[in-house]
Amino acid sequence: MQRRIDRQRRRLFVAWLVSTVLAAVGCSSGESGESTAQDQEALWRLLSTQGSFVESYASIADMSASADLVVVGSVVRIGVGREWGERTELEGDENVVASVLIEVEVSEVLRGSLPDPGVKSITWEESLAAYSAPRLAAVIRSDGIIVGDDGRIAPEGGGFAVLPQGRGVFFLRLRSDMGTEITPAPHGSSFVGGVSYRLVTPQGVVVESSKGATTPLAYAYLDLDDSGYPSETSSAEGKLAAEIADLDLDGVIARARA
Amino acid sequence: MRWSNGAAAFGRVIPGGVVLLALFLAVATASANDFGYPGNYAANNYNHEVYLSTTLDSDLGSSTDWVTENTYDPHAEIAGYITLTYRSANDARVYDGNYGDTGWYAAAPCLSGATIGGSGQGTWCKPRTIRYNRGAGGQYFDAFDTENERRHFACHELGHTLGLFHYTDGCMMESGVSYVVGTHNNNHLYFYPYP
Repeated sequence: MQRRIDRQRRRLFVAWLVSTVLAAVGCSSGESGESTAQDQEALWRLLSTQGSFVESYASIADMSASADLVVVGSVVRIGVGREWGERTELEGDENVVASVLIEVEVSEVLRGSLPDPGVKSITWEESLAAYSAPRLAAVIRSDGIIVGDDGRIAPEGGGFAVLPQGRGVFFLRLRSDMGTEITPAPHGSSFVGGVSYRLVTPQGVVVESSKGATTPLAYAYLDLDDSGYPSETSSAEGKLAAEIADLDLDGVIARARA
Repeated sequence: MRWSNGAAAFGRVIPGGVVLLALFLAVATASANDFGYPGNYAANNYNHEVYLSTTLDSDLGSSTDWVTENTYDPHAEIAGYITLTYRSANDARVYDGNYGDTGWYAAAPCLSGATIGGSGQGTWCKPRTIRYNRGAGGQYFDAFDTENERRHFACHELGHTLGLFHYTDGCMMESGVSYVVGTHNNNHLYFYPYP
């Protein structure tokens, strides 16, 4: 037991050192505009949240079978989406939830079919519980995402632009809320095929990492080590995290396709 | 002579020993309280002031009040209380609404522009918001049907505002209607020192 605790302490200390170095690198890259490993996490930090999720799956196969659409692709563009909630005089726009529209260029369809067969992309739309559209607009530019090195809104004139590079697997649910918003997406925003998708769960985006495959949004609410392995594997979320942590992206694709 | 040499050696070792001890204590403290996020303190400043929005449905306000007073406030290291005053001292601000097909029944994000705290989600920040997604109908509306369900969501999201992660017991489970903090997470709350 003591050895395990010691190992955890050593691992956390190493993680702390690595994160400190990465943060320093991220800061410097923010000033120079270069893209670094730290930059690649910016979108995932923006999308991360803690909460009570509607869906939960114990395996890649289960998650894939339940999804409306499963694709391999890459993020090519993001923009401000719709708004829900209400504004009040006292609280301003604090009770407004905006969505971010993310265009995913699809290289392979593993489950389901694309909404517009003539277009090899889909609109991934995630609701961001912490942002109204104006707050979100402050962090978005046409060429990517503008955030500070802490993942929050960059100060005026600060921050850096970046989108995640490389492939990802996206397990998607067709959104059922078109027309329920209080503010439509800004003029010029397009929903490919007239529809949008959300992730089935925050674990429904899997990307490549130096250690194999990882679910970047799960770090916000699961106790994962630096390789993405969970501290417990008896819950559905824990089982799924452990399965993904043991695979590379091609392994995840194979199980999603099976 | 041996004592003298020993003392000299002791003197040489002490500074390094002190540094190592300090380092060990720092790491030990971090491992006990950060859930893997170095520097993440959760039960931030002992007081946990929970603001209920003027537009919050009364049944959700009542459940949030009950959990604050009966689940968290009795904890030795948390003074949880409700306020109707919107101010910078609020640790958590509670809202509800129809937020569409979000994929979450409730969420507890750091507010954009939060002025205190660490970096990004999952870290210490103030204020956080709690949002109950009580949609206009369907599964999001039905999720809050019973008092137990409303207390469960209140307990789960308030736990997030205190830095807790999902776990396999109590209200931090991914599903269920528990509104008590499980043993694992309760111990984490005890370990949190405030900065």
